[in-house]
Amino acid sequence: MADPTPDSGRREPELSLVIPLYNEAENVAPLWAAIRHALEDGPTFEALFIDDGSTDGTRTLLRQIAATHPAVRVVYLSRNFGQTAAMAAGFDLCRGRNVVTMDGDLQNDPADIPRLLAVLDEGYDIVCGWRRDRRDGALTRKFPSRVANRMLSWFTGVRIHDTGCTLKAYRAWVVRRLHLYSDMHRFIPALAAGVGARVGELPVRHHARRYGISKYGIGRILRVLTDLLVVRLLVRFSTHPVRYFGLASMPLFLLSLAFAAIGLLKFSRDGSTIAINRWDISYMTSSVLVAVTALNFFLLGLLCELSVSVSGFYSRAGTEIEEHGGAA
Amino acid sequence: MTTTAITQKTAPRQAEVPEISILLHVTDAEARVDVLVSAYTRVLAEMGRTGELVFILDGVAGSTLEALEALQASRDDVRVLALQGGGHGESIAFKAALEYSAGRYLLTTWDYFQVDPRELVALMKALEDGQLDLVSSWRWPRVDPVLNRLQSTLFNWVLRVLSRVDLHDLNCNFRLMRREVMEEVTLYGDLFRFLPIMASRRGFKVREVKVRHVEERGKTGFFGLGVYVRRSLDILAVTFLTRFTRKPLRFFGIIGFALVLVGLVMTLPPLYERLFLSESIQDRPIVLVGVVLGSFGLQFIGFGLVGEIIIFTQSRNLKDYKIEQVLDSTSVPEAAAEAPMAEGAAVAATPSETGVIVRHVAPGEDVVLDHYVAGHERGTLFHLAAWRRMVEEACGRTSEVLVAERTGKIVGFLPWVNWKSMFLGRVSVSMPFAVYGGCVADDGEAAARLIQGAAEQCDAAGSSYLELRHFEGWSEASGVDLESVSRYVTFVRDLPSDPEACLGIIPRKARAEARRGREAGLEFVEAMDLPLFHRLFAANKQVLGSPALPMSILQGLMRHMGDALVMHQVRLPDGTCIAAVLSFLFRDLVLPYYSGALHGYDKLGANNFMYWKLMEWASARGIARFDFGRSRQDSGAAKFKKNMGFSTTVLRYEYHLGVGGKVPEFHPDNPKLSAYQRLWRRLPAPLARGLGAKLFKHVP
Repeated sequence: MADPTPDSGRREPELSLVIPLYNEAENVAPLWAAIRHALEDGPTFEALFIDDGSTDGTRTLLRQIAATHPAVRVVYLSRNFGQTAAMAAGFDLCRGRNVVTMDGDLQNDPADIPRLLAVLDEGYDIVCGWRRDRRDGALTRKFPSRVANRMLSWFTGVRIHDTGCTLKAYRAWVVRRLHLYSDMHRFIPALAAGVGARVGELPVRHHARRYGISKYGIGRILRVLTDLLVVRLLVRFSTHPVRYFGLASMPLFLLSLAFAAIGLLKFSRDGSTIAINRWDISYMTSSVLVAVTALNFFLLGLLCELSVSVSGFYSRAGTEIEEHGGAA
Repeated sequence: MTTTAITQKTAPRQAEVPEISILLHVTDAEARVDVLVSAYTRVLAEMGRTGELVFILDGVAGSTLEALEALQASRDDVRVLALQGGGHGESIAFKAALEYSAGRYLLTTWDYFQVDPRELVALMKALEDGQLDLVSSWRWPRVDPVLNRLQSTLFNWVLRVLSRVDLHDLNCNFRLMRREVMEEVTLYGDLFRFLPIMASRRGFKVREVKVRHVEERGKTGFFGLGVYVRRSLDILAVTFLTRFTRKPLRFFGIIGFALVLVGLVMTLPPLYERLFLSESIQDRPIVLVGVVLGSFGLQFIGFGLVGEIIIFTQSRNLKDYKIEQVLDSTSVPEAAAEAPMAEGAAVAATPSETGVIVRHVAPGEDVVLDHYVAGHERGTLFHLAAWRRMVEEACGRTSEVLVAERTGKIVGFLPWVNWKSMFLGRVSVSMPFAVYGGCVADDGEAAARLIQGAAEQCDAAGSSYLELRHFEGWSEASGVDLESVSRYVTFVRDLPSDPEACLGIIPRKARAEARRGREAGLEFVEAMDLPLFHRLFAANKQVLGSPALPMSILQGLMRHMGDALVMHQVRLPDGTCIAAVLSFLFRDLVLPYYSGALHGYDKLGANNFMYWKLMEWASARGIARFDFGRSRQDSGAAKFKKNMGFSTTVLRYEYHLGVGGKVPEFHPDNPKLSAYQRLWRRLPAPLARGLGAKLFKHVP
């Protein structure tokens, strides 16, 4: 098989594949063969394998592959940092105009890459793979994932079915814009939508895991659910946190008023007559407390505004749009 | 921390980089330096490793410094750092030492023997055996007073619960770690004791080892309130730093939601009574408490959210990873020159010196492999993906395929199926139900690597042997040690290009038989009818005392190899089918593979007639060769094929034997099986058919 991109080292490739690997010695070479096969007549590409501190011979294999294929770049992390960090490393180093991420365990099929890119060209900034026909344990993987995805799309307003599928295609500006940390790679579509990306979706093939063991578990999914609140904040309100906090403080102000009313008014047994009561000190104090909390909340919003504006996160948006224009 | 100046003393680096750096935090002006040096030097010598001792003087001068200076002058494995000022504590001292030490492993310890130095051996062993990053020590049994132990136990228990890292003695700084741990984990102030927890949360592998406690210095009795407060706040800080820096809401949110919940529980019942029951006119302090808690809770959540916003917008500055090396087209040549087998991992897919990579098949690669088979002289139809699919479906197992590649080009492959049979136990066969199989490769090296790879995997799968149904053996060319068995022969010959000439190549006696069939008015028809074929075939097999293949396999064959499969029938003039043969077409070959005939028509020469006609049929279609398939040497079938004018080629089946494995003797000539064969022949045909279908799956 001839290498499709003999000089990718010098020129900017059309496509960067970002593939985090952790102890996938049995899968690396088949994966690479499958990628070459899938992209034989496709765009020029570079394959960026990120070795996340493997200890099982993945390193040596990657070295071997990189030695014979100029399209392959291998990034060795100094030890195991986790999938998000590995992906972040890939995002920081990739050079392609489009970026495709995929798992290193052969559960994604590289043959789907050209299809994803075709959809990307229809005018999307992210195209997410959707494992419609998942080959994983129903109880431990499929069900929690379905619940999590439902809640995520409900919370963030980004309607996609399978945010957890690693197989996704991006325009380069999206990955430059998002900096991944902690478990954030799960929320890429939502976060990207938050910075203005158009999100599309495409059903992809999903193979049962053949070699090696799965590195996920049910415990991880539970934590993901707790992150939903944050994602909503980040997606909907990170440009204007004062709105989020302002909105949140409104009900508190109302609650404060309600407490004041309870403290001041007296209700008859059937609720038909209301009279001025003598001060009920508990409720009056509560009213003041809640009002203070509401004010605090509001002020926290201002603090956030300050933090956001100092960070320069949104002031860079202009340059990104330019890049995007060049890529589209 | 980095501002701590160091006023000392760097000896020129010794030529050889030491393996272990022993970092000693010196706070005692009267430390017995010479004893320390000799003790640790002895341990290093015992272990047979190179090392250096780095004394970090934390506000110590006087006799210790002098003694050390003298030592440093005389030995090149002693280094001295004197920190400016004093009382910096362990975090700063050890961080400072990092720069001045060179060892791959660091041992942190004190200026006295709290722990027996010889425990370094145990720590090192644990670190290397378990591929750990840090080994902490657990002093056991303790030599200090009961009260100290009690407080220490409490402290460690709280930390275990909060940090979820299973460590029992965080107050003991006698720890061995890889250099990276100290480099990456940020510590300051009094937090050094928490190094194992921080390291573990950053993803380093941490374990503890019990060590012998020798001596304890420092305060005994109750630690005092101040110590408790400081320790508690330390614990809080460590918990926050290790678990929640990237996710502040997880920390604040849990506390916040809990407070809100408690607040609601306290507030709602009185509120309900007040509103709807008008029960209590008097003040209810519990409402107030509830509201206070709820307010606190909401503020906690607010703080958490602020934290999240800060982290998100600053994420550009966070780098959660550290790159060791990047390989791309510019950097590869030198990198590839490094020792290729440094990790020595024994997985199937490891490259060899000459660049053959052996790996599992990639999804979607079947087409590529089929193409390779079709163009390879050793390729057979049993190497095609269709055969693997058929076998997989028929017996619910996945086939395994190893592919050899050299510079990205396929140079060989080896398919097999791990089998579990009630007769043979666990075995691996390449390929089941096939007469040929095994390794297809361009050269001996690729074959060697493939066979070795497959052998390893079969051993791992618990197979007692791997059977490679080679046409020609590979053991000479590949140099792999294989048992070879020549029990089977095969019969292949060229066909004449003129169909009329086919009768001529059959020897006289068989030719007469074939003619007899023609004179009896037998008809030779190409017509697919699987149920009919199955009946004939099963009857035939029963006579021979073997189970017949089940209908499902025939259907599978049809489904997967439909284009390459033809069926011919021999019919009586009245249309009754008395014999049938299923043949495969592959490249320039016709391969009659399964056949069946009704009993009692022998005198018509139906079989000779059928194969003669099949030759004619093939020759007319331009097929160059006729592969009569395998038979056991000297069996009846072999004689029949010889009589039909075919010469024998001995097949070289080769076996890789696993532990305790031996070449199988499971074939109809084995006298041990003859009793079963007699029994089988007596079974009623439908029963034999049904049972045969079950048994067949056990005979790959």
